[in-house]
Amino acid sequence: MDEYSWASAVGRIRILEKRFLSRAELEQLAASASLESALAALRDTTYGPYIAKMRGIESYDDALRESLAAEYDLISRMAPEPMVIAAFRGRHDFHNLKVIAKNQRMGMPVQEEAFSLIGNFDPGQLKLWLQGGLAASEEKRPRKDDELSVLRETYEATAEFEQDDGGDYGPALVALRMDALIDRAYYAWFVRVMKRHGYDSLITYAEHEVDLINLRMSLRGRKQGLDAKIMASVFLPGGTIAALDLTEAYSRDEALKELFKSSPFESLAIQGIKLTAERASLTSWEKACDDALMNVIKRARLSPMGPEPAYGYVYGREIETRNLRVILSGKLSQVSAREISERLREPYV
Amino acid sequence: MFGGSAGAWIAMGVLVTGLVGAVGAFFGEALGGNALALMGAGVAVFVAGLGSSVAVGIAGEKAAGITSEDPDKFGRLLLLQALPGTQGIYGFLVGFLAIFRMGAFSGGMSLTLEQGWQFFFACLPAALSCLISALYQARVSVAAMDIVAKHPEESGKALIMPAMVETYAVLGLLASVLLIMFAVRV
Repeated sequence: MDEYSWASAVGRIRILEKRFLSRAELEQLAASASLESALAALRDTTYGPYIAKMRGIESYDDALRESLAAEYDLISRMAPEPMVIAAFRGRHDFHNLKVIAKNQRMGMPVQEEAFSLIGNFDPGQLKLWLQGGLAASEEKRPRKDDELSVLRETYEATAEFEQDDGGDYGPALVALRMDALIDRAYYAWFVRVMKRHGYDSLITYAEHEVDLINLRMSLRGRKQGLDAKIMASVFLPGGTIAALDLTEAYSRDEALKELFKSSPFESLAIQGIKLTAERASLTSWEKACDDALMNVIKRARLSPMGPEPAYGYVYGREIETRNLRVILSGKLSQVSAREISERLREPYV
Repeated sequence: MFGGSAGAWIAMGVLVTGLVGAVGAFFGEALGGNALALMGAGVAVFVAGLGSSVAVGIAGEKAAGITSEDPDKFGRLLLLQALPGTQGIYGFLVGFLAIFRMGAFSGGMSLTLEQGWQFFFACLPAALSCLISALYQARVSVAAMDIVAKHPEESGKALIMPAMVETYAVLGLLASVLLIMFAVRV
């Protein structure tokens, strides 16, 4: 691992971290009288230049997206190995792949707002490229195991769902399986990239993320009455808890709790199982899952060198953007400050 | 520029020392005591200097990163960057003292093979302790720079932490000085 080469980037990131909005500042924004006053308060922050460029107060989403894309570009420029940031950013391309594949394989209608514009590739270009529509000269030459070739291979693998009707569960199950296939491809590629660079600590973050996705899947699966055989094709490998163990423990409460024992998500597993048994809403539990993952990734702030602070920074910016979207859309729909505050994710600082 | 990790640079320093020692072991008879003693002095200067130059480089990169975003922190960061540079000075002192004791400045070096080895080994404590402590002091300095970046009012505490690592470079220096002054018979 070449951790020394990150020294300068980490130095800059330490100062940039001061621009994060604290929990108190987010709460203050949530308590603003209106969307206009919330946007006015944001003008004094790092979002100021993007807010100033807004064409109307309802185009805040564009401003937030532009700001996040600029942050990604900034960190990629300062990173000695930009591939580490590109691999994290690639999750947006794999999200777009889900939208494209569902449209092409299942005939689901495409809504433009479903695409993420933060990824490494423009969604329109990606769609053309996946369907072989770009001239050879326009194509980025796919190197072995680079993101584009993995996206294309994964897209080709989704062809198996063309004839799948999901049986008794219908298209929802096909969509779930397709999501799982694409997530599996993303995390496998991410781990390969990090292994190639020797960044084991980032693999640990991905493992925790996979554990959390699997925990969410298992509880959603239980809620929808899916059996263990179906779940076996949905669980992602590559977490600290093996997908096979999860499948075996899937329908037994105690076994599932035991699997997550001594993991950072032990209390979440207990709480989630209880909520599912009571058939209660999982909305606040889902938020608790995001907060638990943030608490794991927050450890990156303690690393004096290496790629962890850069990874934590972009993850923190993603969550902050999501929080601002919750606040601003809440203000637009005149949701109460208390309700907005309850929906806010744990910030990075 | 200064890529890799502390382990890699320590391995390089130990390898250089080992290679020089191996040259001495195989060709000692042909080279003679004077050459062996000078090789020891050279190792002290080079290996300690290697540790310090890499360490100051890493700390400098981090300091430059912070300064590029917040130039007001330059003064506080400079002290933290300079700290791992002292080991290079210690290595130079040991090398200088060894050359002085060999009689090189008085113009007449006539050391036996045994005396040559004595000088060689007397230089090693400073060389290796300075190499290792410089690289690890750089790690602490780099971490302490985070304190300066986020809590500039706590810069004093940030300075004490890397200074603790200095102790072991000083002990290595003392060991080499005592060996050169009192254990080597010239």
